[in-house]
Amino acid sequence: MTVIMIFLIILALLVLFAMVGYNNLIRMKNQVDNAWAQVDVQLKRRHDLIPNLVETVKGYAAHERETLEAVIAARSAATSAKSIKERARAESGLEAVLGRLFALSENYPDLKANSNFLALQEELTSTENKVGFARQFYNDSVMKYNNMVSVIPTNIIASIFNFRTADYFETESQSEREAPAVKF
Amino acid sequence: MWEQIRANKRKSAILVFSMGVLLGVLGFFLGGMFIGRGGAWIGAGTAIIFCSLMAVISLYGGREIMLGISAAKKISLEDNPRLFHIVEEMSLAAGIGTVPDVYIIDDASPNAFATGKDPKHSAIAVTTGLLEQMNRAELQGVVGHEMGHIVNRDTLFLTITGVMLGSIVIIADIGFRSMIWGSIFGRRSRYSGRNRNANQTQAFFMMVGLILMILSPVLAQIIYFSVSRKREYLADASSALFTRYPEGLASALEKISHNSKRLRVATRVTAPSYIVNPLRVGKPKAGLSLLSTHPPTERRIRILRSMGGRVSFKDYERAFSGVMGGKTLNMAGKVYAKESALNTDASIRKKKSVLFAKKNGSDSKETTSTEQMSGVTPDRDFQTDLDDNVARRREVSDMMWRINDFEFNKCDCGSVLKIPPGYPESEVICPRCGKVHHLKTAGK
Repeated sequence: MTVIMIFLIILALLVLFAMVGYNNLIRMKNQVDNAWAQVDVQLKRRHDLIPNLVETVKGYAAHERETLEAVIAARSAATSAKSIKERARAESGLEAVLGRLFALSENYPDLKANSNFLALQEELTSTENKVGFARQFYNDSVMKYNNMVSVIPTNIIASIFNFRTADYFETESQSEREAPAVKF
Repeated sequence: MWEQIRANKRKSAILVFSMGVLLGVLGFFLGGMFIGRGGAWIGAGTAIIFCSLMAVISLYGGREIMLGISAAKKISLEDNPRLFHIVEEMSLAAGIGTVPDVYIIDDASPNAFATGKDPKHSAIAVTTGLLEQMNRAELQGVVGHEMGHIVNRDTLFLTITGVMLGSIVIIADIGFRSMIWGSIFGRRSRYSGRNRNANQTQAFFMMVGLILMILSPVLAQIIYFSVSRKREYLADASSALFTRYPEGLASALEKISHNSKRLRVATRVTAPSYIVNPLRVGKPKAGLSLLSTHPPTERRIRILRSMGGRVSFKDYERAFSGVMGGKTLNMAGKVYAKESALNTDASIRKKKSVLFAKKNGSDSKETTSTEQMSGVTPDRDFQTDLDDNVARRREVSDMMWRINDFEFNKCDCGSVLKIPPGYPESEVICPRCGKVHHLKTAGK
């Protein structure tokens, strides 16, 4: 009798453990999905701001056509990319080209005084920050989720129910990986 | 972080419960003394109902009460895009779904507070002094700190505490005043036989008032003891984690600590919610740290600056032990403390795309696209610091004019005329170029 009792208790504990593990995995996966949705929202915002930016710059710096066209091309590449890795690559391309555009704007004081351009600058700075922070939160969530999927007790449950590790949203620019230089 | 959330919820429940018990006992005795048979239970019952009412009010209305006490005005995106954007950015970094409401307090003293019962119903208020003096990175640090309070549910506990205990202080005040007035007018009727009941009620209120008067400073001290300073360190750590840039908050705290103006709307009840103690400005007096609501600002700055390039909770704890000579903070908590190893390198910050190079001579080599991406933080305005300050002050005062319904008239010479509502003339002359402007709203 007691053997059966012990067996049942152990079984109950295992089921409990499985339940808790499964629930945590689901919760974490939902957080990852939600975080990705946020990243998506911010990326779309960035894409939507660009046409307006291009028009404003065109008004003052029409002969920077090369850069402007590069911006438009990078934007369509970014909007059409599909997988997370592809999108990461496209987005870093877009970031690089936008950087060039703003560097160029330094040479056009009329453009810099334009209130529309200034408002756009604040919008874009904020959007870039938001993309960064959304990405940060997404990557943090992915790390926690991947830990859960790989760590020993829960990885059994993960493999039973087919939870897979998620991809990080990393940019690939080489220079970004350098250590911060201290500038005074 | 999860431990802090649970601890705050627990402390709030304990506070409400013990207030209920305390007031119940008080009501029991006072009722018994003055209301006669069965009065004790009536007294206790009334007290408990009153306490529950206060708890409900502080839970659902507490946010508005705190904001009202602080004369905070709600703003929208158009009023101050920079502040609004920063709050949005921090909401993303903290991973809370909704963006807290943003409020402004018109005061030159730089400070900020957060309130609300949970992230979905929260608000952040910032003084105009803070907006004028901080650059974007510093503002981000401060807002990140407030966001940390919201996420850790410090705001829940402080809002409930503030309103409940604050209300007892007010009642004590009323009791005190009615005692004084009562004794002035009551003297005449003391010897009239008819007024024995009136005297009894009077004496009853006197007793309540007296007891509450004695209680309320004790209660205020209790607030200060139970409100641990640890929550400020945890909010600092949260800010560093969210922004990945502890120097922003450190620099902001440094600027705030140089402030010498007391915040006008701050009271003892709302003081714990602010980022820096608004009631004690300038150099702190020694020996009062146990009774104060905030840890010394200088210590907070030192801890933030000794975090090195890493920004997780574990690194904050390490920096804390370093500065405090071995004492630990104990906050990383639970199973997923391993999360502290995540993305901690401050160089992550540069991954956020950089669009503007700092405008000074030495940066000329940084204007190629890839180098521009790596060298500079995105939050530095690209004017010189002086232009920066002027631009910020103008931005803030323009926002205040707009909120107060001033009429903006742009002149061709470039200056902008801001006319107060109710201005009696219908025309105004630009002081710079002499052009005459016809006013649309003001004027008869």
